Amino acid sequence: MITLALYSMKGGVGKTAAAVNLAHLASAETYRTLICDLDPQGASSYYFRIKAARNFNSSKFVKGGRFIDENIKGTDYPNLDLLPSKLSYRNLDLALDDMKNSKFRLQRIFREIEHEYDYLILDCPPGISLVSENVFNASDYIFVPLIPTTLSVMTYEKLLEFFTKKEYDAGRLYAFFSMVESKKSLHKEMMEKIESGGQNILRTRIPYRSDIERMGVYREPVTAFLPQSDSARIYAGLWEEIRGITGMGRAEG
Amino acid sequence: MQNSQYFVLEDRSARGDVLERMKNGLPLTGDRKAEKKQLFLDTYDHRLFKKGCLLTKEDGRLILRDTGDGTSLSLDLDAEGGMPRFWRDLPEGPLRDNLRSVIDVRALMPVVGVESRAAHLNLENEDGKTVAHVNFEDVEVGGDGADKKVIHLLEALPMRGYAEEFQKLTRYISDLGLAPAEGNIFSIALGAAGKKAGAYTSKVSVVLDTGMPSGKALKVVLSSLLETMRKNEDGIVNDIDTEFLHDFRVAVRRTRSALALMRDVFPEGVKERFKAEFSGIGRKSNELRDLDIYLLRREEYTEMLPPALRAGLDPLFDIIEREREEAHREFALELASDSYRRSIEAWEEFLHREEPSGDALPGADAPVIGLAKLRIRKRYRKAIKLGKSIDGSSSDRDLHTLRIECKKLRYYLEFFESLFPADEIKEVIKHLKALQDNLGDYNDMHVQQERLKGYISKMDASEDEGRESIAAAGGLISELYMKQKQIRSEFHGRFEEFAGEEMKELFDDLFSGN
Ligand SMILES: Nc1ncnc2c1ncn2[C@@H]1O[C@H](COP(=O)(O)OP(=O)(O)OP(=O)(O)O)[C@@H](O)[C@H]1O
Ligand SMILES: [Mg+2]
Repeated sequence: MITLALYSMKGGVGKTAAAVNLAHLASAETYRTLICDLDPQGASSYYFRIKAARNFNSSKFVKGGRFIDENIKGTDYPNLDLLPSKLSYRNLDLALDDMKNSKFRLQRIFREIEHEYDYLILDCPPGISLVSENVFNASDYIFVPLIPTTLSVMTYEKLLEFFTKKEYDAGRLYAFFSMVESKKSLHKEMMEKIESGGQNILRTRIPYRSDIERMGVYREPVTAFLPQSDSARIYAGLWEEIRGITGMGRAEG
Repeated sequence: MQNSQYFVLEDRSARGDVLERMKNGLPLTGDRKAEKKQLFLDTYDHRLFKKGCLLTKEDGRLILRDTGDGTSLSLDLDAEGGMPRFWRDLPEGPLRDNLRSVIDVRALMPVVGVESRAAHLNLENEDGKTVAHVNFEDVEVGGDGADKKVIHLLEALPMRGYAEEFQKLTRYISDLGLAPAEGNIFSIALGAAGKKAGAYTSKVSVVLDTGMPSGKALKVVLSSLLETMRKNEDGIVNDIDTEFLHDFRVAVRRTRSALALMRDVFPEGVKERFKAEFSGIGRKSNELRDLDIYLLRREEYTEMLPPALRAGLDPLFDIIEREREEAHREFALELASDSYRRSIEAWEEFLHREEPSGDALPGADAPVIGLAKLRIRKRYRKAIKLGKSIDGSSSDRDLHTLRIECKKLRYYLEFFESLFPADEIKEVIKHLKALQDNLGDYNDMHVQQERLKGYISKMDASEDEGRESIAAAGGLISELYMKQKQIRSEFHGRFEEFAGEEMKELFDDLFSGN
């Protein structure tokens, strides 16, 4: 199982949008895929119309084992399952803090399902916390959506500093541009500047598109409800790039 | 995850009505049509089915489904050179590994073909999330013309994480008056074709009762063994895989053991005659079975040898393959011969003769439980006595004699298993089996070494190739000898456990009195 995280310190940058479309694309290529919603807001659960069971909560989640097994739900798409989040994930930090090896708890939980899935995709809440450190330890690759604005870029640099300070391997960290408005000259300049900076920047840029925004209305990945659209095609390009990074080929569909 | 639940519709016309009534009470959406053609493959004894797996060929792909968790593995058959017979015919990968662990040495055979036209519907919850699927299927079973049968099914498919909704769905369908069908599409389709999935077993699966007259009970056991023999004949002749002969031979050996139980039940003449016939059949298949075992061990032998000696195995296996081909031809001819057919007919005729018939002795009317207890008791005592006499100076022959004795005891236990409490008889068999495995392996090592020595004398030591093979055979012999010594060293432990107080008490409990 290969674990991918969609992460950024900033909120509202397109993490969830990317997570659900990438997960859908992976599963459509017959990779057995699990998307794990770590955000108490439950946006990715919402996109798949899935609600967690009433008695599920953050302390059960961190216990792992059968609590994970019992709460994974099949989405409407073959090969794609989802572990929904609960509002109580607001306390995930506290729940993790109570555990031994609290920074490696997620890694340990996910190890128990590593033979069930080819890809695990983590949709992370914004911010930097014990949850995000768990994500860094549990993930093979971390993908950061980057809106090409000064503030976003500054935040990304903060993340790189954090990785250096905590001795996480920044080689596993990749950024891609998100919500790009090509008409804005600021966006263009920002992107050019960063791409020349020698960081891991993916080639695919996700533009700002109304059909992506409409995912909230349709409650489906755009790659599912408008598979022929430009937006779907661009996410497919992003997936292909990411699949390549993880060293996997195109699986048969 | 749970499996699909099937329901049988009386006929095609019931479908519209059922669908309407379902739509009245359930939020069903979509109506996707699909057609598919599947050929189900399995081993002769349905090993895949028994492990909850289904293997199909559809659209040029081979698909292995695990009905336990709903997962599947597949591969493109056209790209991989057509239909596989054995696991090793497949390219390396998880599909091959999974198949290997289930089917082992058995060949895959086409079992049943189905062509289905389905309408798929989704059951949704209040968020529009699909929580279960419903399929209406018209399934045509069996390929050609006259045997074609059409069945109409309703399949309810669960989704992970929505067990409650699934339960409600199946209850709803049952309440419409539809009968839930046991099993999966494989067993239902086979049922429609008049067969039962997983019905074949090489085990002695007879049910006797304690008061049954001995003559009748023996005939029940012997008839079941004959049936096993007959079922395996075609597979041997057509050389499907090596298990057909194996099962056939076990049935023959069991028959010979059962014949020994005939004393006081049927006249000596009957026993002697058929004992001779079945010994003959067994003996004529010895060579083929020995050679089969060699060929199955090729990989193991290769592993045993240092790489430098491995090339010497090729000429050796060339000889074995040629010999095996010849042995197979001979035994297939034997099975097709008039003399074999006449033996079997005469045997069948004897087994079918109504009891009490003129040829039964007074013992034929005595309740079988007495016979069972007495004979098992005697065999047990004899095995214990023989085993106790074995020490460091005992010969391979002595161990061989004990092995045969244990085998007979095992067969008796199996014939009469249904007369005794299941748990206890299983416990006895478990301990006996541990001892038998040890003796069997020991004997195996012995036989293999002898045979390899025989090959050495056939090799031409003046040629490079001959010398390499002699070296390889020599390497194998010493390796086998080491293993044999190891196995021998474990014998006493196994025997002690079998001969111990606990087993003795269990034997006394189960088999004293009459
Ligand atoms: N490329 C895009 N074009 C237009 N709208 C987008 C795009 N990507 C995301 N959005 C919209 O922007 C909002 C935020 O996106 P999203 O939820 O994916 O971000 P996020 O980083 O996961 O946010 P959070 O940090 O709150 O979890 C959503 O309403 C989404 O529909
Ligand atoms: Mg989000």
